[in-house]
Amino acid sequence: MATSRRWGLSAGRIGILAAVAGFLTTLWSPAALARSESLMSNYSSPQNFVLELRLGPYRPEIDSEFNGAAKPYDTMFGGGAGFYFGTEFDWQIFDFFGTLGIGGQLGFVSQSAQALTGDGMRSSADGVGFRMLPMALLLVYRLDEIALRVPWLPFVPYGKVGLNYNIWWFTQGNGDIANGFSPSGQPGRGLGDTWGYSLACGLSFMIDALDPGARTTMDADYGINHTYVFFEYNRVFANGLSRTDALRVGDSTWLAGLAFEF
Amino acid sequence: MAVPEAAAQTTAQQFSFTPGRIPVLYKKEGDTLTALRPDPQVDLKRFGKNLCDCKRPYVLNIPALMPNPQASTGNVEIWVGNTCDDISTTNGNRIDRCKQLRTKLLADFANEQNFEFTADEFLLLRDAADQKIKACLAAPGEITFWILVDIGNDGMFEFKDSSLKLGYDGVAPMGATDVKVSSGDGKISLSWSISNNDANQISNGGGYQVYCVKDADTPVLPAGRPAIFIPSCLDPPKGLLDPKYLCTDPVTGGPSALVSGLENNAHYRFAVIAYDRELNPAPLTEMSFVAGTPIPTTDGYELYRMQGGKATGGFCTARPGTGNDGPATEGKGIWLAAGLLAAIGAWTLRSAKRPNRVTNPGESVRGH
Repeated sequence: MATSRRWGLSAGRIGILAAVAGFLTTLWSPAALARSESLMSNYSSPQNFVLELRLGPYRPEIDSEFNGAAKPYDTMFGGGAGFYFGTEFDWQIFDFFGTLGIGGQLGFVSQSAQALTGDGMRSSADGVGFRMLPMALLLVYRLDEIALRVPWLPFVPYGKVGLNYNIWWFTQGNGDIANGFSPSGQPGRGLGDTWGYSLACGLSFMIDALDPGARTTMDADYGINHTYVFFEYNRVFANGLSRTDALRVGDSTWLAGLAFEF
Repeated sequence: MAVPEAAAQTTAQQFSFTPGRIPVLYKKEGDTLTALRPDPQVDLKRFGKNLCDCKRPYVLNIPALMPNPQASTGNVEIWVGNTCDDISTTNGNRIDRCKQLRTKLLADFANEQNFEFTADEFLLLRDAADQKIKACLAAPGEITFWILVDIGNDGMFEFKDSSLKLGYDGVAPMGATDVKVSSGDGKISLSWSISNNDANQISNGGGYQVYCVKDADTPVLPAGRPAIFIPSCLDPPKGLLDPKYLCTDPVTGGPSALVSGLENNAHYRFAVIAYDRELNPAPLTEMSFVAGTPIPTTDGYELYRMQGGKATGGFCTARPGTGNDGPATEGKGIWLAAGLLAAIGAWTLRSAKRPNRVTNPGESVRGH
C-alpha cells in the first residue's frame, strides 16, 4: 500500500496497467503465436513494394484565391466534387515496427460542366472541364506490426507526407485548352502546373486476414504478401508553395482503394 | 416451302452453270457495273422504295450453261417472283405471283448473257388486297430470280436456278420529331425524338442525315463530306434536300448530332432526316426543320480570369514567378522542398538495410 502511494498509483490504476500488460502479453504470447501458426502457413515471399489503386472525390480549392470575393470554380462546376483516380507505388526500404517507404503517386482528376452562355444559362452544346494530373513523391510509414502479430486485429494505420506536383488544364467547348483574359486584358492559358505538399493518414484493413489460406496461395502464386482495403484522409496543400500566382488546386478529401504488398 | 408436285417432277438438272459461277446482279451507273452479289452468301436486302420508284438500272449476269447447249432447242426464261417454276395451278395462277422478265434462246447460253432491267421491273411484291404482284409496294418482302431452261418448250424445266434473292423494304421511318436546338460556341447541338419502331429500324443499319443552311441559303460546309446519299427521283429541293447541304457525317448512334464550325450569331436552319437500312428516307415535314444560332460561351478558365484569377498557366514554375497580375516570387519553397526531399531520400537509402521481418501473422521471422 505504501509503495503504491509513493508512486502515486491507486488500485484502479494498477488494475488498468495490469490489464494492459496482460493484453500485451496475450498479443505476443507463445500461445497466440501458436494459434496463428495453426491458422496460417509459414511461407512468405520477400516483401518490398506496395501498389495502391485509389479513388475518391476531389474538388480543387481554386476559389480560395479570391477570399470569398468571387467563386468562379463554384459558378462553373457547381458545388459538387470531381472524380479522382490514381495509383501509388511504394518501395519499402526500412523497418521499424512497421515499414517506411518512399513512393510515387500519379492520378487523374476530372470535373465537367456545361459552358455558361452570356445570359448565365448553360449550353448543352458546349461541355467544358477541369482536368488535373496530380503527382507526388512520398514518404510512407505503415504500422503493420500489430496486424501481423494479432490475427484478430488486422488493421494497419499509416501516414504519408509528400511533395506534390500537379499539371492542370481547363478545356473549352470544343475540347481545346481554354484561354482567358484578366479584367485588365492580360492573356492567360488554361494549362499549367502547381507545386505543393501533402499530408495523409489512413487505416488499412488486411483482407487476407479473413482467409489465411488464400493469402498463402496469393503469396505462393503471385508473390502478394498482403492485400488491403483502405480509407485515407488526404490534405493537399497545392498552392504553388511560395508563388502567389499559382492556381490553387489542393483539397481536403478522403480516398478509398486497394493496396497490395509484394 | 413445299415443293409443288409439278416442279418436283422436273428436278433432274440436265444443265449446270460454268463451274464457280453464279448469277450476279450488278448496279449500273453510267458504264460502271458494281456487283451486288460478289459472294453467294451475301444477303441483298438493300432495296428501298426510292430505287424502285427511280427506275434505277441493273444488269443481271447469267453464266454460260454446261454442257454446251448450242445444239439444243428451247428457251431460257427469266422470271421473278415466288415458286415461278410451278406451272400448275395448285398455288394459283403463276402469272399472278411471278413476272416473266426475259426469254432467250437456249443456244445463246453457250456463252454468258447479260440482261438489263430497271429496278421497278423486278422489285415486285404481292399486294395485300388482290394478292397479285405489283411493283414498288411499301411492304417488306423478298424477291427471287428464277432462271428456267425449257427444252422443247414443253413447260417442263430441265434446269432451274433460284439462288439469287433480293430483299425489299419500302417502309420509311416516321422520322425525327420534336427536334431541339442548343447553341454552343460555333456549334449547334441537335437532339430529337423517334418512335420505337424507328429506333429499331435505324439501329439495324439506318441513321440520320443532318442538313444545314445559313439564312442566305449558303451551304454550311463544302459538298463532298462523307455522308450517305439518299437517291431521289426528284431534283432538290423538290424531293429530298440537296446533298451539298449535308453538314455532318451520318448519325448512326443516338438521336442527337453536333454541328460544329459554325459562325457565332449567324442564323441557321437545320433538317434531320431519318433513313433505314434500305435508305428509305423519312418524309420531310415541318417537324423536320428547326432554326438555331451559335453563340459564344464561357469556360471555367475564362471565368476564372475574368474574375481576377492570377494563374496565367505555363510550366517550370520553379523559376521566379512570371504572373502578369501578381508579384514576382522567387520560388524558394520549391527548392526548399526539393532539398528536404533529397535529404530524406538520402537518409532512407542509407538506412535501407532491411532486417528480417515478420510478414505473416504467426511467423517469428519475416521475409528477407
